[in-house]
Amino acid sequence: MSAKKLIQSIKKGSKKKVILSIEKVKKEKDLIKLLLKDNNEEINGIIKNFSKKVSLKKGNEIELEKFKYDAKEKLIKIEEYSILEDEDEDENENEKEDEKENEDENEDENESEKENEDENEKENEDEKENEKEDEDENEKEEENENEKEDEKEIEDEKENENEKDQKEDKNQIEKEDEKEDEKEKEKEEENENEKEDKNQIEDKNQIENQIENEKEIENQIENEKEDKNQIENENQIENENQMEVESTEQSSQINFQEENCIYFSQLNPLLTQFDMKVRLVAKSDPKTYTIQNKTSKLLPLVLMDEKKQEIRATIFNDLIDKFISEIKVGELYLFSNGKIKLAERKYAPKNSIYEITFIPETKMQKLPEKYAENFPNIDFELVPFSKIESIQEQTLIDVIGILEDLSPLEKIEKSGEFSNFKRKGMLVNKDYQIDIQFWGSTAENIESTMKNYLDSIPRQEDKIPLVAFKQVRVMSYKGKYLTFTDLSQSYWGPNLPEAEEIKNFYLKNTMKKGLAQQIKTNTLTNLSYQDVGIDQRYLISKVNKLEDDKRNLPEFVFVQGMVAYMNKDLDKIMYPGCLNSHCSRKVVKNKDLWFCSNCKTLNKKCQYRYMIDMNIQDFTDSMWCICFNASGKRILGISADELMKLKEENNSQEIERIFDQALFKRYICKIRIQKHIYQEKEKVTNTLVYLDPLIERIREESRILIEEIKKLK
Amino acid sequence: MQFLTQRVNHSMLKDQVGKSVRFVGKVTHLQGNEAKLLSPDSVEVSIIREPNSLKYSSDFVEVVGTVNSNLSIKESQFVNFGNNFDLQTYNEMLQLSTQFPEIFQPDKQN
Repeated sequence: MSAKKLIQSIKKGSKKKVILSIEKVKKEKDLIKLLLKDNNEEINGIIKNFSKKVSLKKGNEIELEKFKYDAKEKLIKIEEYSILEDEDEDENENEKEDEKENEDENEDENESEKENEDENEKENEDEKENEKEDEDENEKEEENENEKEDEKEIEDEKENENEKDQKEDKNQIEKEDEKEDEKEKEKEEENENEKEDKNQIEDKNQIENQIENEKEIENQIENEKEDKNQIENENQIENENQMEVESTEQSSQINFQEENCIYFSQLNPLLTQFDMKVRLVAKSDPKTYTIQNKTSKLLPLVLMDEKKQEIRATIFNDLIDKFISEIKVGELYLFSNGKIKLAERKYAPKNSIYEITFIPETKMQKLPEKYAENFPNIDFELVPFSKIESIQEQTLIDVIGILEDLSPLEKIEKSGEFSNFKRKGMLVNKDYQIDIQFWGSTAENIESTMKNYLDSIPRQEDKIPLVAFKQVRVMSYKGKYLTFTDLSQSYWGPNLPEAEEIKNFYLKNTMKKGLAQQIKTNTLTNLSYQDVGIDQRYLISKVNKLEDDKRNLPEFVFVQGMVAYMNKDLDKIMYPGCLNSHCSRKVVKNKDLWFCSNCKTLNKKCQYRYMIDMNIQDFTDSMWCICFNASGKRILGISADELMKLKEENNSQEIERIFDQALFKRYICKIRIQKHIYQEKEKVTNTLVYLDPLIERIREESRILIEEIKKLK
Repeated sequence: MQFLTQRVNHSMLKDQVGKSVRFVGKVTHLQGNEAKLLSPDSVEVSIIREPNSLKYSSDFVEVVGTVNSNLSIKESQFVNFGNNFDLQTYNEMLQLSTQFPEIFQPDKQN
């Protein structure tokens, strides 16, 4: 294991030059086996694939330029090396011979590098199969990559280095000339040597360039290794290096290049290291959640860049503590490093494509406002209330209005889980108003925030609770309403042109202070039903066709039809229901009391509710629907309790009359279509959810018919 | 010749001179014998009425009568159409009625 430590210490960069002394040399057929020593630690090494004479002796010091460590066999496989020069001339000569030979070998090795690398790669693959230790595998992978890069870099840099080092080369050439003369005298007999000398004169430039290349390549390799390690692993041992690097950076002033900052539009999932100038637009409370008995927490943020794009950023678990107290909404930051992935549509502000996750290397450093010259403040895209009705559910929008009718704080308790706070309000904007819901800490604080805002206004007449909300979600339930999300933000008394308009309108139309009861309001409730487009209107024959097909069934259809037949058996069309208006379960009579299994209450009375099977017809076809209390009451004209009374009084004439007048009246009906499986067959049920007499909707109907006629052309 | 009381706009009056028509419009003037209605295509048409006829009691009125050569209508009867009439939709319908005679007019061969 000492050898391993040696290798580790070598690799960690403390020793860029690996110099080992040779203890033993053993020459075999294809290999030279060496016992190398570094201070006190010994390691085996082999040199393979040499083509020229090698004269390594005990006591020589070699510098390893290219090598690999084989953990299984515990030896270093040396590919390139050079023998270090001493000051003695004699030794120089010997060593120069050695050097030449070494350099020749280096040359050959460089020339046949590609072949070597192929073989090396094969070796690597074998080694990978054999090895089980992660570090070694990493090392080899890196070295593979390094080799490939080396090729490219050697080619790239040869040209550069040649130009730069010409002067040095000239000096060396002169020296070498002198040396060569001496050598020639000594080795006149050997032709090969002469040739080698000549070759060496010509090639020494290249060799020395290559050596310098290789040294620089080593530098680069090490730099890139550091980079790769940062990118690849969070759990590697080399985190220590990273920490050191980080601490040195933090201690210095914010040192960044503004030109290198990117915009959100330039992000892609492959990037992890980048700089961006951002403004923090939204920040909410940390949320805890449990998955499979593991609790974790997250903190969502919204960032905005110089081009008014927005993006969601999430901090998880431990990193939250690092940032939560430091970052504030509205401030300018330099955001560095993060993980990019595709955004979830539901949470993406302004339809951003990506979202960011904080990683340990992420930094948010506060920037002085001088960088914010071109940086917009928080940007609103206000939606006029008249358009809210046509916006799809779940969309995030910005709105502005006057907050009124703030309900008291409610606590919603879920069984077993944490409870949440809720508050309702009404947002008024000229002619329109819409319900809005607040949750969590916003619900808790909004009343006091509003008070503080109003207190800050000096003049009594101006004390209007005008507020702009950013990124609230449009929801639909019997009409459209708004709800606050994690990342919605409120801005009291914003300095926007729309704010002035709303204020002026409000002031004109109030006779009294406080609530403006004189404002004409078009409530946005039920609007989802009121404005029925032609696309949702069906002929009953078409509905029946769709239902036979059972594919692509719309959830709701609107039809114009009349009730052609309904069951008149009073026992079958009514059932005793729970008194609780929210619970409509059937109650069971227990002696004199009615018991509800849902609410678990006993009551003396019950509320009868309709559940009528009826047949609806238009001029094309008929369909069967079931209708419940609200619709039944509308059709028949009386409540189920009253009908029950008539039954008990045996007033058959009145009952007859009621049913007669209910039939064959034209309504616009909203029907919900549901698929379910009954006795292994797919069945479809139609529920009559809502209906309006046609007389009340003639205008709409006329328009729809006109559109239909126009289509005929 | 068949007796058809066609629903007309101001633009259709010239084709129906001497014939009986139904004309719906918004009441703008009502003075004794003469009334003025705003046609669906936004032209004022004068209506000549019987001296002792009932007054119009709603904003929108349908008048049945014959067309004079000066494109006024001599009223024979009227119906109150209430105050919430969508004249624009009615106008569109009138335009379509000329384009789709098969829908709006009974079969002439019968």
